[in-house]
Amino acid sequence: MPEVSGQAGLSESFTGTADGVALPEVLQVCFVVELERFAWWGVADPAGALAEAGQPAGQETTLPLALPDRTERAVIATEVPAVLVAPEPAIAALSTWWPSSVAVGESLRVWSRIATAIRHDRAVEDLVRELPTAGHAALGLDGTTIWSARAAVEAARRSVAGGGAHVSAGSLQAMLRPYQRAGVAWLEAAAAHGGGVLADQMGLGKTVQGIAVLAARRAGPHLVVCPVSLLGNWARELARFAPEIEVVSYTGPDRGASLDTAMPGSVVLTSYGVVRGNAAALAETDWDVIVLDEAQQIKNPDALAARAARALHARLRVAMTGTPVENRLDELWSLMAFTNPGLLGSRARFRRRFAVAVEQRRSAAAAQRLHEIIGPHILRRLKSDVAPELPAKIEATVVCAMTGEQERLYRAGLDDAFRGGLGSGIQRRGRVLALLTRLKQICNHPELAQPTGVALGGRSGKLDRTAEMLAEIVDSGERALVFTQYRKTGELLADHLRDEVTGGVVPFLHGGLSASAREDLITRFQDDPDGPPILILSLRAAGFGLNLTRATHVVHYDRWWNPAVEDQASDRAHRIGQTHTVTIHTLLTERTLEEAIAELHAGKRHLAGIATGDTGVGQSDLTRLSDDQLRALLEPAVRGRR
Amino acid sequence: MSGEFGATAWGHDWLRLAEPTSITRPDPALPRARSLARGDRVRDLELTPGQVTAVVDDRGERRVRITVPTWDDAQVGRARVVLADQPAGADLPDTVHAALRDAGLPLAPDPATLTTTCGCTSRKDPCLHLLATYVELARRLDERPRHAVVLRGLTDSGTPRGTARVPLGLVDPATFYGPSRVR
Repeated sequence: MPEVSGQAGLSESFTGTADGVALPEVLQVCFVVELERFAWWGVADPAGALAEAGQPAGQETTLPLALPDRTERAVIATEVPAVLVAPEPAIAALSTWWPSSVAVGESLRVWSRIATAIRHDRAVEDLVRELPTAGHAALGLDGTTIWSARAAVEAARRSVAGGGAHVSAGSLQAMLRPYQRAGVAWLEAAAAHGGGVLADQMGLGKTVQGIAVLAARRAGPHLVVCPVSLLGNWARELARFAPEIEVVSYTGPDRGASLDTAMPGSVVLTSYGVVRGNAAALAETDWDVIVLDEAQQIKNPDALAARAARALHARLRVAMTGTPVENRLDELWSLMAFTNPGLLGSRARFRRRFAVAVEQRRSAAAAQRLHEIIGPHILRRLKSDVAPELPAKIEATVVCAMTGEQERLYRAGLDDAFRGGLGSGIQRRGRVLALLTRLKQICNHPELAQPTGVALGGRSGKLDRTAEMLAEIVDSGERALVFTQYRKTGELLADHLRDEVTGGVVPFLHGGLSASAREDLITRFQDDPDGPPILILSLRAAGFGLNLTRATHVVHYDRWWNPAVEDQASDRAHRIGQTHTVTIHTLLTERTLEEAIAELHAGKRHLAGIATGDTGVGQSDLTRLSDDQLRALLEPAVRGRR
Repeated sequence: MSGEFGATAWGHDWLRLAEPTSITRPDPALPRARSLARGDRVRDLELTPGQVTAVVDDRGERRVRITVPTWDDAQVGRARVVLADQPAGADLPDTVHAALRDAGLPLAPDPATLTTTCGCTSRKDPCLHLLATYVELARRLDERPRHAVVLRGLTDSGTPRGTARVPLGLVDPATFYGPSRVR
């Protein structure tokens, strides 16, 4: 029989954690909401104490926890030794817990009764009130809050079969990761306070959490507002994760009628521009849930869209943004005036109350007091905190819509090329390649195909979306690589991103630079703490051997014919020495050759006579197609046909 | 009014204790008191019905305690009526401050009914640390006006309850392991 900590409380020796916070010296239990695991803690050797009590073993770990400090006047974040046990065996063990030689805390005694109630599907309401903080003290992934007793008990109940609220296999809930399920439950509970700001870092799945909320609340109608560049993405994700929901697109000139058909349970999908112009019409509907995606679009409280959003009525108001919002008071106020009206009071007054201490003097104490007011209503989790759950590399396809200008040019390009036929032989090969290049340039930006000198914004779906994504990445203090195969595209990106995102020179590494100039760019990006946050690279110039692990995001602005070349480029960031998750964003313009090529690569589409091997579909393969076959491949598909 | 402290009517009540308008010459210790508050050297400020305690870091820890009279049951009842229409939130508009005053509910601290103690040996009244605590309290009430009514006895009016996530600063260490401090 090993000496276990059941006796430790009697000894003089102090059992403490790394930062000197005292353990209670008796066994405690808490539920770790965002991990969906029970944690046994409270003593220096919880595994030994569990063994002595004859309880199921689990995974030994160091658990981030909130604990009273030595003075017992404040609760601080610390780490304690703990054993994690999956919900099912933990509930079974707790519900049959019998007093043993091991001293236990009140949290364990109450969880034992809760476990019994969950197993017999009985109400837990009164028990929730009895659960002491020790029973839900696991630090949230945001690092600044703990989940309430009610939230922890509900999450525990959800996580086991027979708990009355169990998610059925194959459902959207079942597809979510535990931290996402916690996010969804938090958003639903936020209705009691108006709503909340879901500020998870890019790549953690804000959209799918939002969709899960919409799917869980069948009452409807719901309203989703996003930038034009994301409308297609939302439609796809809704169809993929919640096919049962009817989606009404409230965009375009004939939108007026569609609002009348917004039935209970349906989702109306629209853009910030439409909200600006149709504030009154949208404010007439009693929405169940409103989701504002990329909510930094309303960060200026005086902007028309922000005013219009504040005037909308809904039972649950959700703002989603990947940009940190807490330290910019005007932006914070604007978002929270939408999600939690009244929480911060009037804007001028809010500034008077907090601006000097938080913005001018950067007082940590004042910032913390502000956080105590807003923290319950903002959920921000970082990839690094979720990391154990995330793979080293995340790949995301970002589907963008064509603008009107792009679609006109694209169709005209096809008409011109096919009017007289593409000919045959060497001549045909040249014409096909020229056509493909022109269409790809139009997808990148109309200015590349037909220079007009007009401002670049609002003319290319991919460019607008890229600027939005990079703004979020840069605001989060991360760095990104942007790959393109065209020199002109790279130059256009450098100009636009300088003007719209960084405010400083955005370097472009291409084949025309001297070896020393390239070396200098790489060193500044990789090693200089004040270096540029974005580096644009020509796909061909960025050959082997480059080490750019400072970047945690890779953006492929245009598609290459051979996926292996794209992978090679992505590996500049995702390689040995990279300690963070790398997110690979591949942009493609829907209803164009970019989408067709992606479908060929993914095996979702087949062409007679063309084999799609590891090297993908080559341009030379396309020159072998007949005119009709080629045109069918390149022609913009009717929306929704595929 | 500089606006840094006492920007709302709730906070201004306490700033006036440090800077009484009836006195033409400001207290020479005031700039130093402001500086202590500005530098976050008034810490561990705890506000409960009838009492404020704080620690001021000024060549050692100076423990300050201020007590104010709480409202009686009838007054608490009238206050609830005034506050009934207010949305849950941290802020309370200055109009509510005026409405409470009009309902015969004193919020402003009256030097005649206040008791104060400080761990320092200064004979000056108020001492530097008390002044600094007044200034800090003005800021805290600017930030959370509802604490002004908590101080007068409306205990359930402070922090909004029932959120699914709780910031660490709002977790009560006294009941962490259970109601009776049992572990």
